[in-house]
Amino acid sequence: MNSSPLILMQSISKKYEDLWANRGVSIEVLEGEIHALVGENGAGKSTLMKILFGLVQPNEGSIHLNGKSVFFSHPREALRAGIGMVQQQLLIFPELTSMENIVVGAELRKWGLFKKKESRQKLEKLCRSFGFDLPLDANAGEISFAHRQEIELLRVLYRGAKILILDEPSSLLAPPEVDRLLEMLRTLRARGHTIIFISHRLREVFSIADRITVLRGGKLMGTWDRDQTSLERIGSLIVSGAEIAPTENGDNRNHRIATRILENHQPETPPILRMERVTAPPFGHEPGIADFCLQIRAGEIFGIAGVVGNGQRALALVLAGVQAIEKGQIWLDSQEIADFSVAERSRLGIHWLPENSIEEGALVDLSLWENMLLGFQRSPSNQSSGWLHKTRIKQWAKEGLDEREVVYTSISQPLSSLSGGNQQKVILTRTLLGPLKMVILEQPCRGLDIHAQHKMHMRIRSLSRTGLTFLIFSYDLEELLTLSHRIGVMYRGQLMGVTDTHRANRELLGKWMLGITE
Amino acid sequence: MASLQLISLTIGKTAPILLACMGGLISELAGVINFALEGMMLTGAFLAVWLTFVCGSPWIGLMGGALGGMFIGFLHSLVCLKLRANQIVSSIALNLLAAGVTGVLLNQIFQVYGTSPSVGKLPTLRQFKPESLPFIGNWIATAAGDLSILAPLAILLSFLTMAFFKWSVWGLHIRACGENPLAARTAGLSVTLIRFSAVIVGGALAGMGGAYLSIGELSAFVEHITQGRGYLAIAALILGRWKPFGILLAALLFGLSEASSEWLAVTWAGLPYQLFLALPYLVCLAVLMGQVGNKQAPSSLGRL
Amino acid sequence: MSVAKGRQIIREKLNPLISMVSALAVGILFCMVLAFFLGVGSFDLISAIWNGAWGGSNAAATTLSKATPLLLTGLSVSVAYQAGLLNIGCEGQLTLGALSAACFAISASRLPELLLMPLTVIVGALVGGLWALPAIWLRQKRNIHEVVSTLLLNYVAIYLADYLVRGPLGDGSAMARTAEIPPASIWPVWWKLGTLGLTAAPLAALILACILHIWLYRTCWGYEVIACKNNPFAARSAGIAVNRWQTRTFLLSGALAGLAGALEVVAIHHRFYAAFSPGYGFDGITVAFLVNNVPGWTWLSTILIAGLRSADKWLQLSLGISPNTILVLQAVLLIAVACQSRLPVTGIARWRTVFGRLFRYPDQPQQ
Repeated sequence: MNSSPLILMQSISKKYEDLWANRGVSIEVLEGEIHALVGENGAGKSTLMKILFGLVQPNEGSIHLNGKSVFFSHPREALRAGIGMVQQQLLIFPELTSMENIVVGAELRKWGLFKKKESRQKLEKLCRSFGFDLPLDANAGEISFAHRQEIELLRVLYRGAKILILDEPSSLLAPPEVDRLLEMLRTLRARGHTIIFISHRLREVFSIADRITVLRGGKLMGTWDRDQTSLERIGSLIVSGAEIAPTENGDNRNHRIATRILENHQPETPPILRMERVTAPPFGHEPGIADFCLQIRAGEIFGIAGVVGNGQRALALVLAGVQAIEKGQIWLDSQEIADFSVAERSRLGIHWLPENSIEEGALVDLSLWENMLLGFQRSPSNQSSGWLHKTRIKQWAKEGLDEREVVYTSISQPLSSLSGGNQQKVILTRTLLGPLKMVILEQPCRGLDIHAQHKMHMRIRSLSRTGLTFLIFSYDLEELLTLSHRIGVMYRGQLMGVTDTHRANRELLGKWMLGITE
Repeated sequence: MASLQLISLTIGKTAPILLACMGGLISELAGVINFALEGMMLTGAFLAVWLTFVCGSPWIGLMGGALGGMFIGFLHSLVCLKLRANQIVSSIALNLLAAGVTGVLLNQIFQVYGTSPSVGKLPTLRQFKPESLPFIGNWIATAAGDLSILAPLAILLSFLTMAFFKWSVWGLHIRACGENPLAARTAGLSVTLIRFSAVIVGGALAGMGGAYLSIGELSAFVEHITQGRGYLAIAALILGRWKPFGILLAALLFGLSEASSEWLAVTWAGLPYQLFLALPYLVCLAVLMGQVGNKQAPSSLGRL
Repeated sequence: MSVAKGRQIIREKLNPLISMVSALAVGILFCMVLAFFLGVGSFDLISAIWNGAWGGSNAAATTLSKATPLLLTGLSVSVAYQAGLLNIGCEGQLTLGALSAACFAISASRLPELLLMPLTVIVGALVGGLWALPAIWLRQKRNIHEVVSTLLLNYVAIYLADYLVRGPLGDGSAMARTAEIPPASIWPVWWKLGTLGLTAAPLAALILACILHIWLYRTCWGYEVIACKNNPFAARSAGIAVNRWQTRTFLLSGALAGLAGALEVVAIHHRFYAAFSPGYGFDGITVAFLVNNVPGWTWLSTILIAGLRSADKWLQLSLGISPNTILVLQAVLLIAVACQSRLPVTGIARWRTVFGRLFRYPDQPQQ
């Protein structure tokens, strides 16, 4: 293997308004290796790779490919140079077929006509050689998440990309699918592809990477060969706090928190929420739930695991009161609440944080205090005969935000002027205000850096100890394993099984996530 | 025979709506909301008359019609794609602009208000000596002789558009931009360029639809000649579920209602004539109310 | 720091004014270009517009009398837009509101003045609201965009009114108009300006604008309406009855347009005739958007557009150019305002962003 690097990115810096996403980062990737880029959320890994792929242009720095200086102003040029990227949020065309999704932009053409048959043959050959079983004629909006990821991979392979950049490919897969993915990457490496693998999951990184680069706060911490370092060392380099130590599975969760769960476990509290044979319609492209039964005990943290698109959203919407159910009953304590509206459930103490908290829960162009008011606008403390007590509301909003240490200048500034993380904080603050009985959180830690995640977990813990019940949806099984008392796994709108966390068997949970009952 | 005449009249009334619809389809499949079809048709109608007047040939006028629509399309894409305006407000503004500009130009160029002087018309089918065709020649001569040549051309263009989206690479690119512009950009497509082109080409078609009204049917330009047909085209787009064949059917329906309104006005002379003038809009509203089922617009329609 | 904060907040409040002034600047620039194409001096064009709008007491009276329907149609569009809907059917709603007000006044002429005057305008408003009903039904039950349906309803309304006024509801003469409404329902002239008299109508419209502004920005119901526009999913998830509010607001919007028509009848024309509205419905869109759909600022754009509207005949008389020039100007103003979405408020940053959008490849959209 020749020692001069295939890709050399030197002193890359990128600034977004006032924030340096990358600061003087240099990275070398050798040919035919799997190079892992690790760091927490917000460390600048995605930005660096987007620069390599031509989606984003750096403020400073240079890129060399095979010794030659290159500059990509558009992904097209990167693709032509043999670099392909699979992003974290899957970019598919929902109403086009899988085949069209893959070949768009690189079709075989004659006189402007799309040579469908030849393209299809070429694609089928490619699929067979890698063992993909993608249904080529189904609309991309209707197939499973893993298949959609295959589309993304095939898209870059079809264009003959030799250098593949994968941004957090495993974060939304079930454990067996993750193993399949890693196997596929080994196959690709064996065939001479070079792979850059962005992840925060050190266990996976250490199972397949050849070399590891660590980024922290936009700066380079260093690059090591996998055999010359250890999981603990890398884990400690990623975060700058001392109290967060990596656990045995190498995922940077606080081991001590995990132990605390076992101590607080109360087996025989009565159920606070009961769902009996609830059926609800699908939500968008995701399936609904059918004959769903669930019992949640008071004061516990119940985690709902499952691969994305298996009915979790429908369940959350049903419990929040946004979606009406077709059949079944829901009880809160001993009250039937299936017919209760969102406002009534909120008064009872059921609050809900939607999955995309900004898109689905925020009024982006309105001010901070107006966002905090959402859901509380009719409460007697905020209005009398309709007239809003603006000064009182602003004061109350200010107190709420200051307590949570949200960074803002004025309570009347628009929500859009805050950073994404702060916007999420505002919505979360609002969700946890007021008299609460049960809080439904969908993907609460998505997009947060490790400190914020840690704080969130601590807060959920302490609130749970005061008797508050939590229902947490997460696509990240590891997070639920450290946070919840019990875990239920959903598959195709059904609850596959429920287990106590301290007795949880990762393999069994993985099987449930894929619908395998035995 | 009366029914054959009705068929030819229907085709004649369908043609402008169909052309505008196809124009709107191309634009919306690329992801740009286009409610400015009315303005495109109006500008196309005026420019067609003007160029025919200046150059003497209605075929150049037809090109002028396309140019007029393309101009409005260019403005729409400039305002929406580059300056990030709300696409619906921009469409409405352009409709107003077209109404104003055509009125001003009518006055400036022809020194009249309301109706332009007569200009040459596009040739009708009769002038192509259809009797020589076997089987249908005589029918065309008798029933459809007064139909402008642009009407069958319009149907041909709509089939071409269908073929374009089904078989060509550019059609696939346009649909990709309308589904997910971010993904399209990552796949190597220049989304802004494709959307610009789609709106402008769509404008050309809509402009030709307007040209049909002025130099295909009437041989002059009248203020507000389009009378809301641009909005009927949008309704046809929705009814046809953004699929070319469905749009053809919806446009035929509106054409039929407009054609039969003239015929019905004679048969049922007792009813007020305004009812028949309003018939296409009433039929459109009724059909919109009656339809059920999933309307799948392009996934990123209206999003940049 | 707090001074800058205060200044920032004041600038946010003044945003409607700033967007209108920027649009006006663009409009004036366009005027100069237009004047060149029309073969007149740009100063002549602008001064002709000014004279037509405010030069002399007759012109001023015409402008002020046009202010009422324009203010109301502007409010109509604003109110609907603040709930997230676009009502461009004001023409039809206005026409039918006017017709029904006239017919009610004529048929209920035996009622005492105290009842007849308010009831007439209320009937007009109700009919206007009723005409908006099919459009909102189509939007909620069939997901048809209200722009398409209100526009179709416009045409139907005009034909319907035309038929009714030439037939059963007309005054029997060959002219397409109703009989004159009884004097008991006519609004008295309060102020004579030139040869025209002004009634309490503009004042009533202004008061309505203030009430709507306060309702929208100071009550919890107005807050819910604004939330519906900003993020209907979030609003629904917070327990706000989005569909109900949108329906109510849309019907209110139609009622405001109907009211505009009714006031035109009782205050100015005293009867209904065919082709009643010279395009007030579409002007309302410009009026509303020029001030970012804030009801409290609508008076400002009303004055501008009313001035433009009354100047159109003067342009024809003095410069010989088509009155449609005003329509072109209005469209340019509307486009100029529409391009000002999500811009920073401060002056230089605003223009820099606009030029950046025009001449640079647009960056990836924000997530």
